[in-house]
Amino acid sequence: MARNAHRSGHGSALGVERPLIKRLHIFLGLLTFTHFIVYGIAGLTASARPGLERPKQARSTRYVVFSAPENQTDKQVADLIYNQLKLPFTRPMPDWYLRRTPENDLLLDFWNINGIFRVTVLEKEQRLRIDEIRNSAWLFLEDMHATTRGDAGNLALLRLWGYYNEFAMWSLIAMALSGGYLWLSSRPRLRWAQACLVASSALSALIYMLVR
Amino acid sequence: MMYRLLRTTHLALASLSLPFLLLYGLSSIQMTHSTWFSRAPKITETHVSASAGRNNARLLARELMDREGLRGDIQQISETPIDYKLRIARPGTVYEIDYVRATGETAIRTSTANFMGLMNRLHHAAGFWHDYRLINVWSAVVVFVSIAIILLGVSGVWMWFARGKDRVVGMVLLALNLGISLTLLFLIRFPQ
Repeated sequence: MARNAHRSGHGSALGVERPLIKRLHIFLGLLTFTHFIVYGIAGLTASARPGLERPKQARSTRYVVFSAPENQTDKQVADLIYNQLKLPFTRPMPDWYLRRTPENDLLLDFWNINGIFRVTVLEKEQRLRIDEIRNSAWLFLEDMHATTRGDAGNLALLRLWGYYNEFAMWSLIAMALSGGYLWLSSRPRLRWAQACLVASSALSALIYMLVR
Repeated sequence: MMYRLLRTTHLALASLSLPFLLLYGLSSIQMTHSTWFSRAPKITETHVSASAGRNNARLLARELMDREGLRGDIQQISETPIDYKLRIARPGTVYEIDYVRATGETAIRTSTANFMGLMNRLHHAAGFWHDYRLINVWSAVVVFVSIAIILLGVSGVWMWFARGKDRVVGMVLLALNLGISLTLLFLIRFPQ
């Protein structure tokens, strides 16, 4: 009887709030399930990459008629192109990021959550070349896992994701702590679980000391 | 029987990954709210003599690693006729090296991150391609924790369903999560 009371958590010192915390643990998990899957995929993707560089092959190329206005700076031309093309999930080009091709054409890399829109201003031909470099779905999820409301700027959908992502981050901490509580309040003397926690704690401390 | 197996798996995965999940959780909060935490690194500068006339930045880096005890990946090598600039970096510590070829004079600027700074760097470290082997060991941990978080999610949902309690509320919450998240992912991945 006493053992059952202890296992169920009722009546034990640690177990008074157990049902409530268990509900919280479960509900947070259900509310953030997709995000945890995304985090897992992001970690596996980052681990599988052969280096920091990402593939930059264009998936498609198109041309758009464009005449650069006379007497405008590169930055002004970049802003004009940004406003004219309205490429999804891009932002205005900062002036420190303006570059030129070996042929001396203005090169604008509009980074976005799906990859890069590489726009080359072919002034002599009076047109723009737009190469779409599209990240794989894995890289997309890796970037989504790191998207916060601060990164999203005024891009509404990304901002919304950022808010949800932040909720998932807090939930991750809450679930880690509440999970520990749920274990300790039901089966604290489980030797193998203690051994697992000691091993992972020792490993993390060891890595910390070695990297330090 | 099935529920017990799921619960055991869930607890085993959680206890094996708990410190790392906390690391990822805390560092993600730090990245989102950078003003809440100080990440100012400690910076020191030392001057040493390396072999003069080096024409190979990697050999220079090896010499400094062996003699001065620097550890990390060799990064960002830039060369002029006069000098080499390069970095040796590991999570939390960056050595910026300025080597004068003619004399061998070498300035080493060391930035050492504090605890939160190191958590941040570990959060970003992954992949098995590093020269610095400890990061490759860390990457094995990243793989384990990544698989663990997926399995924790799946086993958690499974246990909730198998438990039979709070099914209606749970269904609503899960539907909300799947509906909002998958819709956002789709709309962002395939913009009109």
